[in-house]
Amino acid sequence: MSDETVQPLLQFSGHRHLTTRLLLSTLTGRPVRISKIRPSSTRPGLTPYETNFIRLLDSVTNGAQIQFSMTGTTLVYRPGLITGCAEGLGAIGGVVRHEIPRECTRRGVSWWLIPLAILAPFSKGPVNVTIWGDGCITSSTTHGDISVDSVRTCILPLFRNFGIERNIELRVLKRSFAPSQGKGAGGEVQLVFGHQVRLPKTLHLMNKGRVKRIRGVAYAVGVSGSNNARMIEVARGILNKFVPDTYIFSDVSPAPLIPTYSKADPNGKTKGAVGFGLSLVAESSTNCLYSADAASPPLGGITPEDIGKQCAYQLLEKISHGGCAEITSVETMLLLMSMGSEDVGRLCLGKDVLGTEEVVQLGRDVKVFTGAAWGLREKGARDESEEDEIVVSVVGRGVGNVGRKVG
Amino acid sequence: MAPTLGKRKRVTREELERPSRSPSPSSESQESDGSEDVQALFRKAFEAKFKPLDIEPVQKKVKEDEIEHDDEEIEEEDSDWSGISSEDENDDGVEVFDYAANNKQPREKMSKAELRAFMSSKPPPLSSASTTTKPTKTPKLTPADTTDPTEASHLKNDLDLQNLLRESHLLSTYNPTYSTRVADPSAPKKSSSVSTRHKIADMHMQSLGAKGSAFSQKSMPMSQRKGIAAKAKLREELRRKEAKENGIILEREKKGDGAGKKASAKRRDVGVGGPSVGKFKNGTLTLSRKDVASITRDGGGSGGRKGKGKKGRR
Repeated sequence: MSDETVQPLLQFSGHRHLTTRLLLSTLTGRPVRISKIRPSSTRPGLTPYETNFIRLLDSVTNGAQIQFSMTGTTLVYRPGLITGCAEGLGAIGGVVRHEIPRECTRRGVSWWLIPLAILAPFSKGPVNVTIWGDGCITSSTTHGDISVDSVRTCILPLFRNFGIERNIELRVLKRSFAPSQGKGAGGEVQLVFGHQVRLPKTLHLMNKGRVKRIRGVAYAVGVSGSNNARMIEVARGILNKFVPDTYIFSDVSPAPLIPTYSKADPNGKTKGAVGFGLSLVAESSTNCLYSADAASPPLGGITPEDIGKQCAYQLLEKISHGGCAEITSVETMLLLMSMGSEDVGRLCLGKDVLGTEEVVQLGRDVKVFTGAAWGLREKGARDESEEDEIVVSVVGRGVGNVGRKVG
Repeated sequence: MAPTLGKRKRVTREELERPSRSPSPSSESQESDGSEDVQALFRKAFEAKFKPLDIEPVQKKVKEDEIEHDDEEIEEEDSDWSGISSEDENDDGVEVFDYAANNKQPREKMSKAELRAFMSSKPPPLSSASTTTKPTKTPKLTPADTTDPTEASHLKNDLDLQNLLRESHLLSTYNPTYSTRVADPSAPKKSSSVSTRHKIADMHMQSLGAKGSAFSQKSMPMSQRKGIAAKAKLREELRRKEAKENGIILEREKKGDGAGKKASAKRRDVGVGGPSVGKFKNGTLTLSRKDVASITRDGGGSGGRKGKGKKGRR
């Protein structure tokens, strides 16, 4: 290709922050070479869920080139144009069906969904992807992935701040849980993202406000709905003292059925993993969102009361970190800001959030890809009563969506 | 000896109860009277040597109390004795909190709309946009809360300003240019005040929904009406002239006055089946001279072109 001579490969090493780097590469259109992916592990190279993510990237872009080394420890990725789910490029009826196989059950589906949602506004056409399969886990996982409910109630509303608000939907078609070893999950989620923009609006979010309401979803899959009531009771008992406007909705669904594909019984189906979990979202008076997630582990043995308590305390902890964005949503916010118009956007972050490895590395990667570093300054100059927060100034790249000329 | 007497009394009571509760009394009490006398003798000897014994009767008393309470509190005593010993500090030390049991708040129902808004597949709306929550109730209260003096005065000033803007042309009509024609500058205000006030009141009534102006007479001789119109026109012309001389910019002249109205009157919009030109009545299409001219003349006006265009459709 001609741009191979023009654009040198950006070099990275290590398996960490793979999705962020691939995402930045796709958004900025710069090819990357990632080497030393788990070189000394007993199972070297990319994991199944990472290759699966690359496959998803390939299905929503056109013209991407992906090269693996023999052992899978080196990856060269040349991004294509983000086309969305245009007809004739793998989409059937405008919907891309993306399967997550059974090997990928270490990650929740939000690990795929959040990067996809960040890509979607910069796509040429609308994005409509259905993610399904044995490895599709809609609940939160012990690995730290949030549930789809939190994605819907905490991540997707953030796009409103950037002027992206129409035709966004996240449908949970089948709920599922993290399975124990060798079993399937069998969830199904559909992300519809129909609002594409040329450039996201510049964001100035300096005042976190005060938490004024808490909402949540308690979900039980294949187990009794009374588990939901017990989780809700405990979580409300803790949170009601702080915010009276607390309400947690309940969602009970049967366990998903997974076809076995055995020759002896062609129509045989087995039940997927079961469990219960809770997702909480706190909304502040300036529309900042904080979320918390807890779900029963694959092996069980934890009471719903404990899950409810754990989730409520987790929410309080996240709120106590301060800032206008919490750790699960900060990547979305900062990436959209750095892809915005050539203007300085500002975002206030708590020190505990900014100091995490993910955010620091995100800042470094953004600098490598776009050439513009973030500016950081202390916020608490005016009023000492505020706990110390850092204002992150992000210069937009000003290129935005190359697939769209207007809008 | 009083204590001895007391003791003996107790013994007799115990003896009364003995047949009913055989196992509870001690083995000594079950012995014969002879042995009891021996015990009494021993005690007398002991008491003579040392001092009167008062321990025994107390012990007996406790026993009796136990016996009396036994019947009522068998279960309670059992529970007391089974657990931690009777040290009172331990009872205070253990505290049990159970939020799940204590905090049974009544769950107020969420409205259906809110449920649908939150649990739909779309990202939930921000709370400012929602209609049913409490925050929306507070803004409703704000107009009522006129306790804030600055806010109230602002509101009042705003209304006054709007009224003034609406009525300003009335004021200017009667003292058009504040010219030197009027000797006393304060006089015009005074002289115009009555009629102007009436007009202002009339306008106010109209703005509140009155059918028409009270000053417009419905029926009157045509000559009079013509006279009024002519006078109004004259006055208006004079006003404009003076304003122009003095360099005052007045409002734009209305085009729709008098004869101008007829010219600007557009053709009535006929229905779908109606003719695009002329008048269709009783099966006859009647064309006026003007219509004919517009059709025949080339580029005679917009009507002609329009007519041609519509012809193709019909």
